[in-house]
Amino acid sequence: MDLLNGFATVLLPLNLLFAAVGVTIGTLVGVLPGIGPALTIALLLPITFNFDDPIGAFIMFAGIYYGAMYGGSTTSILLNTPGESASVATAIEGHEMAKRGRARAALATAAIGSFVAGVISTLLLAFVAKPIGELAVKFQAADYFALAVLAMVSVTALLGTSLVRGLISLVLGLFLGLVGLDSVSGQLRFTFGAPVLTEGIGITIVIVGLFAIGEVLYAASRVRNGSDEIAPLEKAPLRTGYLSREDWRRSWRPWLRGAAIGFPFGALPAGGAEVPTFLSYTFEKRRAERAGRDDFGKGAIEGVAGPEAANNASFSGVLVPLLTLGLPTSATAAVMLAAFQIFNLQPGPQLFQTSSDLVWALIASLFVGNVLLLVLNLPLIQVWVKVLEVPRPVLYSGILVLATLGVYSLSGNVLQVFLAYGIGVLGYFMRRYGFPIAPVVLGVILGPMTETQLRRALVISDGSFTAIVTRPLTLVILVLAVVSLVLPYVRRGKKLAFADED
Amino acid sequence: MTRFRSGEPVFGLVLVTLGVVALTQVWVIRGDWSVSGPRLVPLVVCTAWVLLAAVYVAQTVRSSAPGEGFDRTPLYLIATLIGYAYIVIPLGYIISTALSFVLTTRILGSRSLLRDVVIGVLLALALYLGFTSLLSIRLPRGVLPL
Repeated sequence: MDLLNGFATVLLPLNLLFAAVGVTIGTLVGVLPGIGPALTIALLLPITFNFDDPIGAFIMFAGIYYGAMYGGSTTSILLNTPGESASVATAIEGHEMAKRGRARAALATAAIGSFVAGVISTLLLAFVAKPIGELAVKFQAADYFALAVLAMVSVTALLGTSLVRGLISLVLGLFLGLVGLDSVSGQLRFTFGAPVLTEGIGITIVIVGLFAIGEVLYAASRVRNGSDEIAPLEKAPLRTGYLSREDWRRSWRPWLRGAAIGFPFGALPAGGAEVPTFLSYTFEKRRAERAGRDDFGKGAIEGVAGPEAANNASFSGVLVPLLTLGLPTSATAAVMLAAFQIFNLQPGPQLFQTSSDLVWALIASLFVGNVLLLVLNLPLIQVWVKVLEVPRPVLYSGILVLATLGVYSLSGNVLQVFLAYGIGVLGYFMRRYGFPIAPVVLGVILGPMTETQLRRALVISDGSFTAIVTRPLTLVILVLAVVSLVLPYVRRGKKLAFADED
Repeated sequence: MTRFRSGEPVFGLVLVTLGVVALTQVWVIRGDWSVSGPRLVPLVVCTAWVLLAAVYVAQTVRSSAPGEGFDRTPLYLIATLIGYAYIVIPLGYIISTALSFVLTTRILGSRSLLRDVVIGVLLALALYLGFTSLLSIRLPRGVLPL
């Protein structure tokens, strides 16, 4: 019933227009090599300033997100330059398919798979969000603290190859999150006497700095070493020629399996899309090997269909902890949270009571975004390919201009622009020496929340740490956090095996 | 240039140094050391920073493979960006954006100046007009009589 009301809101002509504009801009920016959904949303955040009503803004965001994600798959398939770790799995088989003249089929199975998985997982989101929100009301400060620790630690442990590098990334993020006014005591921390730091370092500045400026600086140091090869798009006169009957037969099961893997993994507080996409890829590969086929690594369509579906489904999953607990578990979710805060909305258990219209409109707009994505993107693929042909110097200069504009228009302050450049330099060196970027973002966004909840829990227990360890739920979550730190070491052989296989 | 050949331990040392600086700043925070006070978490975070960075330095020194040579392109780019941020208010958004766009495309190895100038000017104009009139976000007008 709530969902139907949501649809009633979204299907207003103006909101449909917002959704369509969002999908188009999102794809346009997402197609640019090296730009993932999180950065796309961060760059486009200033647009929301013009909305009086958050519903329109969030409808547009849903469109932008789906567009950016699909644009990212397009780049991964045609160029083999995944803009975020969640499209790495897609790039493996997708680019192989493109090199063998099957780019259209790869793009089509990615788009239709995203659509199928998006619809299924959004339905699941609609069913579980409210019950979990009601459950979350019972959570105490100590539980929130433990959940946030679990989210940060597990993402750090699961990404990248070096635990020390991952933890340094996380600690740097936590530090950036500490800068500014302490919300509990009202004291200034780490401002070094600079007034610009009093309000803290905004998440969008961190994301634009790390992802846009850091990425361009890094790409710049390698841009002279030859250019990428764009896989040509084969001529296909008929729209129905995207997927053959054989392709459909081989794709539909991986789509469903991808959705089944993606949603629950995304919904875990240890969420994100990296794990489910790789799980889906490995799963499809194993199945193919067991069936006696050896086309994985040579452009197997299952290797595109599964991970793309998992990627899309995990986003709806990530919305579960974001909307019900206020707990973002991916960079994109962190920017979404920043967008909520622009409209003075605080995601969490109360959101379903205070802004139930908005939540259901958001969920409904995910369906609409999925449909529009399919309707717009399959026919427009030629246009997106043109975007890929933009010369690299022009592209990177353009990204720098947009990044600067994004920071400036958000703050109206040149000092914030300098701050973003500084973070960009940090991001450059982190990339250069193999530090994962996502833990920084999670540290910045989750750090303050973790600290507030910890101190709240400690105040309740009169400063005794036993309160945290004696509550069973809190303890279980903390133990899980420790396990996720240790696990990659225990199973290291297996983790490395994945990288070795291809 | 050889100084940068194995830049990784250097980066590690910079991280350690910055961590130590941050750690000293914990004592600058006004407040007490109570578990719910404003100093505890910063102390934990900064200590972890210094320790982890030290472990990282130890690791990189032990496996000090000769790194790739240092490319100056990022350096030139960041210098251009800083210049851009300095001139954007006095010169205005359009001129400074077009200028820095052309300069960065040069740094990135573009060879068609005319194309870059045309794109730079059009981009700056489009963004300025789009943001000021469509999104009502004010951008520095500068010296141009707009």
